[in-house]
Amino acid sequence: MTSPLLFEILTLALLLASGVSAAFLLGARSALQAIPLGLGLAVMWRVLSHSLIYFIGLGEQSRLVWLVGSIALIAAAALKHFRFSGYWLSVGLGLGSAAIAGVLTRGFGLRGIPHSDSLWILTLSDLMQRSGDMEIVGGRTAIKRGFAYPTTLALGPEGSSLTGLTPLIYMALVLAIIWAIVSLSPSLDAKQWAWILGPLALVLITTPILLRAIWYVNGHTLTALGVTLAVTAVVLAAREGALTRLNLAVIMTGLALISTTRPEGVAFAALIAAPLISKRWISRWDVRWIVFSALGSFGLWMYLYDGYIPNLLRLYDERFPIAMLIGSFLVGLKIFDWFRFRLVPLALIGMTAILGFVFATNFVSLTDDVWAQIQNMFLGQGFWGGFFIAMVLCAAVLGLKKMDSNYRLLALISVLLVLGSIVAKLLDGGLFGDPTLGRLGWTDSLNRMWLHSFGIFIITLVIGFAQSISQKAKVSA
Amino acid sequence: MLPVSKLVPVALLISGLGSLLLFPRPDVFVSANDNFSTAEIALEEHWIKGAAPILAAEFESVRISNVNKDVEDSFVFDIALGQIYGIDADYTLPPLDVRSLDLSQALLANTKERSEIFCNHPGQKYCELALVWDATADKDVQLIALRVEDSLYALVEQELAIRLGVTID
Repeated sequence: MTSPLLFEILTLALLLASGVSAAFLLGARSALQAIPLGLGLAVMWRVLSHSLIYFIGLGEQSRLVWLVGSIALIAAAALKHFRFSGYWLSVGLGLGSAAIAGVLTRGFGLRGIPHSDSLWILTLSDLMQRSGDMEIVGGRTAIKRGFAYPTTLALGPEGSSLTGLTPLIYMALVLAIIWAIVSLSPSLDAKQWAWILGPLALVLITTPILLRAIWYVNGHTLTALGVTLAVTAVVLAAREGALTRLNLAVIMTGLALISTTRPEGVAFAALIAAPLISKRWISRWDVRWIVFSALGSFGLWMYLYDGYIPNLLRLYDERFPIAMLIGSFLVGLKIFDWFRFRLVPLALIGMTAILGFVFATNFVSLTDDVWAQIQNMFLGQGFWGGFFIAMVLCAAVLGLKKMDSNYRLLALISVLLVLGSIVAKLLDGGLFGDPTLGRLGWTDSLNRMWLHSFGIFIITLVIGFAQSISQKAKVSA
Repeated sequence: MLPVSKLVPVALLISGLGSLLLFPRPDVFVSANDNFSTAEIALEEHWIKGAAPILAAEFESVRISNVNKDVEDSFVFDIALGQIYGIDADYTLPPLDVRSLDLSQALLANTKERSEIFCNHPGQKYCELALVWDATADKDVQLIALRVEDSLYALVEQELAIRLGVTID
């Protein structure tokens, strides 16, 4: 029998190698982009293959189908890029990352901080691994545990999960952040980079929740990977005034990841896509593909095992995924252009109105919750260290004046994500019933939801700093 | 006034050093002790919010009554987890309110697990749940949900509950 450590490393290696291969087949050409995009693609391949096999009643074969498909992807990319050293370098780095992730957990025996949400997710993953009846999982609690993450965890050795997946996702997230900074930042010299990255590293390594997230079993970092990939490609497309096939693939992968990892993910996906799909130059079919990546993947999840939202909407059985498909098509129609072109202000106004309404009608009961959030974010109770203090200070220092469109768009998306997180938390507590904004401590769900966007906050800060330095250099010249 | 190129790094340094000196430094991981099995982790971590796996691991068969969570003054015994772990749960009635019997101390001696759980109280989302049985409990156990204090519920082995004075219709 294969040892669990070897089994883990081989599975993680196959996961990443197949994902990197898929990324190269889609047009990626650097490890910085191919590894994070590849992990996202690999997770989505796992979700898709598991779902389709489950639908036709062959759930026990889902691992085999994933395996065969993954090997086929590697073979196809290897044939196409046989002479391209960049491909082999990316695959090699991916395999190295997979080995490190597997050894960290199975080898060194490191496990995430205990939390009931983690155990819930492991239970779901266990059920998926046993090809259990998914129809029994349909409640309000189950939907919060997500789909993509437990489905991929279920690739672990029998009776346990793929423990190295969580640190592997974190490594991919770090690479995605670096890719975003490299792609969006003006060029600086080494000394200028050291000025920003040194102090920033100090903030990050003194932020306990960011270190906990390396091992913490939950979908937050997978969501963060999707958010970082999608936002970066949205900003790149907006900057270029055109949407390349590769950027479209990156956005679709990111949005699908977000929409299948968290129940509020599909709303986040809408907020991230809004600045791009509201552009007048984007083609109607690209709009449909982008929306479909979020709605279609969400519909697949709801159809497969969690009918909580379809049941609320009375869209039973196939009606919900069909409604998602039709919705994706309709959004590209000309009659919706007025609405589409104004998505961003409408989203801002809508969320602000919701917040205003809830706070006005529940001011007293929410006061303690707001204080709890302040303590969580700024006073160490949520284990965010000096992260949010640094972000607020730097945002105030940088401002918006003289900043180019990259920074302004990143700042706008950051605001959308912050508002979206707060609204999602209020909705979870019951908007018209008993809304809550959380409680003291790192386990509070809103406190953990900031993990979805922290990468974007970092990217925004670094791009803003780099722009202010490069403008100063231009003025001096 | 410092230029932006200096202000940003200074703001970051102050935040980082402040965090280092003033804020808590909790553990970021735990040792797995070679335990990667989902069921065993649930037991090891006393996962009471998912009482189902703990009960399923402890007994051969488990029946629970009075776990209707869809009314006010109840706690959430998750249906999905119950089904995943093969618990036979009767969700018809809400927990039996035995606050007047003042059973907290009597139950304490036989409490196997106790921790936080979701509840449906007006303005209150979190309560506590205790799992209670004694040495006489059969391997095919029958438990009943009781409201013991304002914010404390218990799943108590039915015969033990009767011996403690709980009247079950």
